[in-house]
Amino acid sequence: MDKKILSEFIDAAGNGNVLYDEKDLFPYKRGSIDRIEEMPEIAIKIFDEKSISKIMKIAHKYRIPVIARGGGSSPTGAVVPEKKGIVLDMRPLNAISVNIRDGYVEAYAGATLEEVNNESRKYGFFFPPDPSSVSISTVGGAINENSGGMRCARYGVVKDWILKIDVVLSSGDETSFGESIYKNRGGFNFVDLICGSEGTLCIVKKAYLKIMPLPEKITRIAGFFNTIEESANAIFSIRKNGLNPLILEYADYYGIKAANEIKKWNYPEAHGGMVLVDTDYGENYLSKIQNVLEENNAFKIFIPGNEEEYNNIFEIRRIAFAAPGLLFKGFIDGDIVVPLSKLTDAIEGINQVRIKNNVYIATCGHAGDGNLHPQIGGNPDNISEWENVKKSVREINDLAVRLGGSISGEHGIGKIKEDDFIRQLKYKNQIKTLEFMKSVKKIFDPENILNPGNFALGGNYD
Amino acid sequence: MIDGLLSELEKESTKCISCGFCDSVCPTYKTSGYDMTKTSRGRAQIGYNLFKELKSGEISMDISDTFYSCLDCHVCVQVCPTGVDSGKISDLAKNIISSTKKYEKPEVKAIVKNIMKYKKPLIIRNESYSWYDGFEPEKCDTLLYTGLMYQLMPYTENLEQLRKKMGKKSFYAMISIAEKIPVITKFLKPDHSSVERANKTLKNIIYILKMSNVPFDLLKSNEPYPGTLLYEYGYIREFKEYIKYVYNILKKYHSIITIDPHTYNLLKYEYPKYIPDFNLNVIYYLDMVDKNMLYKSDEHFAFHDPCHFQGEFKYNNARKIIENMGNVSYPDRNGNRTYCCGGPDELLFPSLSRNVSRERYKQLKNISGNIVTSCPICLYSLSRNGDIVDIADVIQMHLKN
Repeated sequence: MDKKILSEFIDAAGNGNVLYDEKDLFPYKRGSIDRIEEMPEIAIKIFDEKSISKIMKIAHKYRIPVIARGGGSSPTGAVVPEKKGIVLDMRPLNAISVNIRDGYVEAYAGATLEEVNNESRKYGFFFPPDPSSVSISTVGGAINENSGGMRCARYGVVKDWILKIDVVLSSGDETSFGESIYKNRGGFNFVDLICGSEGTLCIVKKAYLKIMPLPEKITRIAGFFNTIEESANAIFSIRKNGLNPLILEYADYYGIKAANEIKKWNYPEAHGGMVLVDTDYGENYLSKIQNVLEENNAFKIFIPGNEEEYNNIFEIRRIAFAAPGLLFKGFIDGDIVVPLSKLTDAIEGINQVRIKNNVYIATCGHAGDGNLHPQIGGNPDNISEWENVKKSVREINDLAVRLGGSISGEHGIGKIKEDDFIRQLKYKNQIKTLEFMKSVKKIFDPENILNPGNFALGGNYD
Repeated sequence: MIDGLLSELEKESTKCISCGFCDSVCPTYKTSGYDMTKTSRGRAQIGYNLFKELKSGEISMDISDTFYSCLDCHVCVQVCPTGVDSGKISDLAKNIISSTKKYEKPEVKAIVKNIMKYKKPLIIRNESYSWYDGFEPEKCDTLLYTGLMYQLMPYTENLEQLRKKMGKKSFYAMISIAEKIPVITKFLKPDHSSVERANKTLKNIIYILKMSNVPFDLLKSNEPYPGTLLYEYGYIREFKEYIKYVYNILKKYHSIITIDPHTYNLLKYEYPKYIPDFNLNVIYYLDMVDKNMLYKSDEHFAFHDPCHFQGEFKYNNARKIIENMGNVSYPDRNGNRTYCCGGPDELLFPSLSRNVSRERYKQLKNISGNIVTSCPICLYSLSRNGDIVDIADVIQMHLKN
């Protein structure tokens, strides 16, 4: 970067907060899972909220790309500075204040959702959306990715819990969208627009998050099944019987096997996978869930007897998400979502792709809301093997679309799913969506400096 | 040798999917001002790059701070969904740095030279050996081996004062002299009150063992350092050479009683890997304490689990003993997810070490003002923030007679 411009950034952000040595920039090259990477020209650690506007004014003046990064856990390349430029490390900007009287938490973009929950818990409250990466997922990241997670079937996704956001626009001007009140019909719903915009429209600086009283005692149960049909039927039956668990999760054979291997456990490596359920309606409700699991031929029911078992059984599901990482140099994250009635077809369809392409797929997911993560492993250095992985990803994404679903439930499009996203829009005759997206992008970011080359919005307007 | 290290580094670091879960538990992330090169994800990613670079050429960046700042608590592996141990990656990288001689740290080199030459990281003064005054050891086949950890900690206190007084530049000039003439470390004075405190704890350990009717011998001022820092700084070639000397002294005994987690783990689990005919019964002194001698008071303790008792080689008896003496609470970060005291960074990254230590002390203090631990490094590191007691001192106060 030009020395004069660099010194302007140093003036704006404070000495020591602007990183330009190769060693210091190295960790900002990539996000999670996908191995696409690019080194930014500089990274700026944001400790002072006022510095964001100053930085954006300079970036805008010189048309330098800017990516805001929180926990950096996006698996779609959304935080990769493909066009170089600046990474804003928002993690240090993480103050939280709980407002019980008005029922919200005021949190800066760099606070993790775990930190938000830790603060809220002191008052008996919690922030319901629960991405599995809650310990690293930041408020800014969760908003920009409109994260989901385990409790979505009951509580919805992140956007359903955002009252107001304070943002910095690409010009460096500051504004807010929404109000810190529970209802608001003042104008278009810009909060929902920013949620899931993957850092392409503005920099989220602070958010006002709706919170709820903590649930009563949570009870946990897991069922292990011999066949995929049985587990899929169990998931479907829980819904059909009108049961509304706190979480309803699924991990397949490969996920359970990975957890056993890493943790040296002996949970049943069930070919039909594991269905994990949390409820907060008491013991009777747990019995009802147990009945459904048994009626659908669960060969093993597991009710944790102590805290360690309670955590371990949950850990299986968490580890399942990264199962291919244990065996392969690379893997591509799947994030399909289908109508609940098509969940069985989706799981079966994924199995067919596995058999047809002879590829490793570990599937887990939020069965309660139809969101599955088929994770496909392979070696990126082996061209034919990696092509087979990519082909399988494509086929599974197309399967989701054909079943009436979408290629992404919660991880977004980023830089690796743009083609599949465009194909989805075409298949559904919704290509107008992309045209409108590009128009909106131009209004917010006419110079195209905010996360350019992301979300199928194109790299340049020139 | 480097090929074997590289293959291990590749195996461990390629598993990292860069999800960042480990950052949420790494004690050096937040406390380093969110320095991405001083966190477990950074270590895994930079470790993978180190492997790639060395496979095809040379190391291009000075990455020593990344790996030397790792506290070796290994909590990262507890939360990693693919089982990556960034602590292991740091250990391998340090071993590679020492083997390739590129980007070695001058302070570390000075310490290594001292250990190889004087069998101690620095010259220990007489006042640190007064704890056994008046005690007559028994000539028997059991040795009480202190590993010099309690004795050495008071010197680090003054090393930091010296660093502050001299300024960074002069301090490093002195270090480079120490590297060439290690004996100059004899001019480093220990912090007097810390020496008194260490002597008191060591006396208490002797007393507790005596009360438990355990006969033991002592090497007094002839006791060699076990080589802990050679191992922890990745100087494995030197470590292998050095421990032959130590083992030759120790092998005259049948059983070795150790009194700190670092020496215990080193002798019990690492020495046998490098000494083919290793045949010592390594004991931790708390295992010799007769629990019937202790009475339970109504005191409320906050117990800090030392990392070295909670990782791969779990040791639970310290917890059992403290639970025998009062009501014990543990902070949220406990057991195999304990939060390091920051001590291992004291020599190389004093400010980071103190930030970690402050954070941990706060967590403990929130539970009880009566904080106890069972490791000299934890004890000294945490004591910078306020009161903390060694478990030996608590035992001495809870003997029935």
